[in-house]
Amino acid sequence: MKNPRFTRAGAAAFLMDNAVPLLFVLISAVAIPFSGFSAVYLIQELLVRLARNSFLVLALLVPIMAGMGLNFGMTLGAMAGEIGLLFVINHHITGVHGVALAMLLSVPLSALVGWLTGIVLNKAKGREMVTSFILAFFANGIYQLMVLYGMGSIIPVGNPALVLSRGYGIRNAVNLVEIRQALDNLILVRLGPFSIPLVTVLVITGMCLFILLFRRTKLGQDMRAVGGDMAIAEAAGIDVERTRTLSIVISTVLAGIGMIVYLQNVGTLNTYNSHEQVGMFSIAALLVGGASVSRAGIANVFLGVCLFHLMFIISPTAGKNLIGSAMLGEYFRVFISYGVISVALVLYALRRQRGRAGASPGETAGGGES
Amino acid sequence: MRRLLIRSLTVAVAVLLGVYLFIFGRGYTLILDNNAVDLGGTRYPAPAAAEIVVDRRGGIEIFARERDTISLKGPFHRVELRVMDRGGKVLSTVSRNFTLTGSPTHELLVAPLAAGAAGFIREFSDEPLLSAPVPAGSPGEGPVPVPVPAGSPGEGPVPAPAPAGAGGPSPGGTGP
Repeated sequence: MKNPRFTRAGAAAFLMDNAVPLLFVLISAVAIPFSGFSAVYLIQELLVRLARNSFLVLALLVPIMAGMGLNFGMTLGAMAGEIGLLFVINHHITGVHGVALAMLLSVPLSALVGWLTGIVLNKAKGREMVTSFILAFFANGIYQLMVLYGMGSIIPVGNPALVLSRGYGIRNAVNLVEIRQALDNLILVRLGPFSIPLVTVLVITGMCLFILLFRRTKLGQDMRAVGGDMAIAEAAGIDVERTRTLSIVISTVLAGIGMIVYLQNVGTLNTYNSHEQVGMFSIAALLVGGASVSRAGIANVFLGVCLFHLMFIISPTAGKNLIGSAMLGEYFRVFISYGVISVALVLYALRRQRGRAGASPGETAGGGES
Repeated sequence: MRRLLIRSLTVAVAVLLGVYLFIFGRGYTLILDNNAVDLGGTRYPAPAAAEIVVDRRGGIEIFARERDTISLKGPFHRVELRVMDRGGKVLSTVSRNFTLTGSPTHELLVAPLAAGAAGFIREFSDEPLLSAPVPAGSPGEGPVPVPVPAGSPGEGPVPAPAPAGAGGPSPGGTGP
């Protein structure tokens, strides 16, 4: 016979551990009937958004494994991806060739900025998230300087669709019509009423397999050891700083590729702030999926993308039908989404504080600031 | 040493892949221009109607003094031109290979292609196709198509009038 106290405690622990996704499920369950959308429409929209965003969110897993928290520095990788796309659009490289070339070009750029980010984050151990957050702002300034003043003047850009009429600087919005959904439409499978972008799905599946296999490699094991406890990892002979740097490099490179997957689906590059939104949305989606700063898995990625983007789909219409204004619905979504994320971070910090208080003075927890 | 070799090979493969994607992924806009053209001192009259098939894609029907555009990818292509009369009867067929490089916009000049002349592809420019205005009733501008059997006297390309100081448009582009 089960111990009722154990069951209650188990239920409470389950609720505490999964408070954020459960809250999102609850809000979605209430909002879906008010939105009036059919199940077919919602599933199709979720499929599109899963294909669009999953790669970016998966890019966040490696630094979490290495105990470096949520990599707000993924924005730098996203910028590298955008530069790859600008090059491709400038030279009229079309279709899947253009997508592949943009990815290829983004890799060295992402690796370079990832390596620099890794060096900075190694100097700020225990404060990685806030450091990478501010670093992204700094890098955004350099990116804007380069794109707004360098391109067309120092860096030759000949495509009039890209350059501002004054002769230098890239336009605020760039039409990616030449590569729009090139990856998604390469093999589009019709499954009843649903269209599934098979190649994108395969790319995401490959990425999931990479992460699963990577965990079993020597480097993956080292990252987990470093994420568990840096002092012990160091004592075990692991080059902690190199391992941490590599985790950021991998994450940044994947973020660059993910940004290209994202933008080829959207079809428009918002030159000056696409990358900012992407960093925030990816991190938010991962947290909504039940991940924490120190623990995240592939299941969290897909659950998070589904729940977070379900709110995007239903909230304007639900808000309009409930309150009479789509904007109020959108404000409500922003308030609830980011409020819940704040709660997730506060809960994590509280748990960590409790854990520290309960631990012996000599014990240290690796990674992520509270 | 082995590590260096592997890294060098990886970089080389990435560079080669990049070059391949750059060359074969490049998109071009091809303007199909069915007007009379002066090329190398010869005037080529526009066929009354023609069907153009590029890379075995669906044919595009184009009448005299008309233009159309198609998008192409990569440098190497094959065009098949079916010269027709106004009734749609095919009078002759010409197939040629052509290469696109440089500018993203090129022109395919139907008239010299119909005559089997080289230089039917050129980079798009705003230079006039004719070095001098066409007199009324000249072969290129009339409603009657001019099929161009090689060497037949009295038909086909006519020498272009040479106005003072005008050299005619450069053939440009790359031939078959």
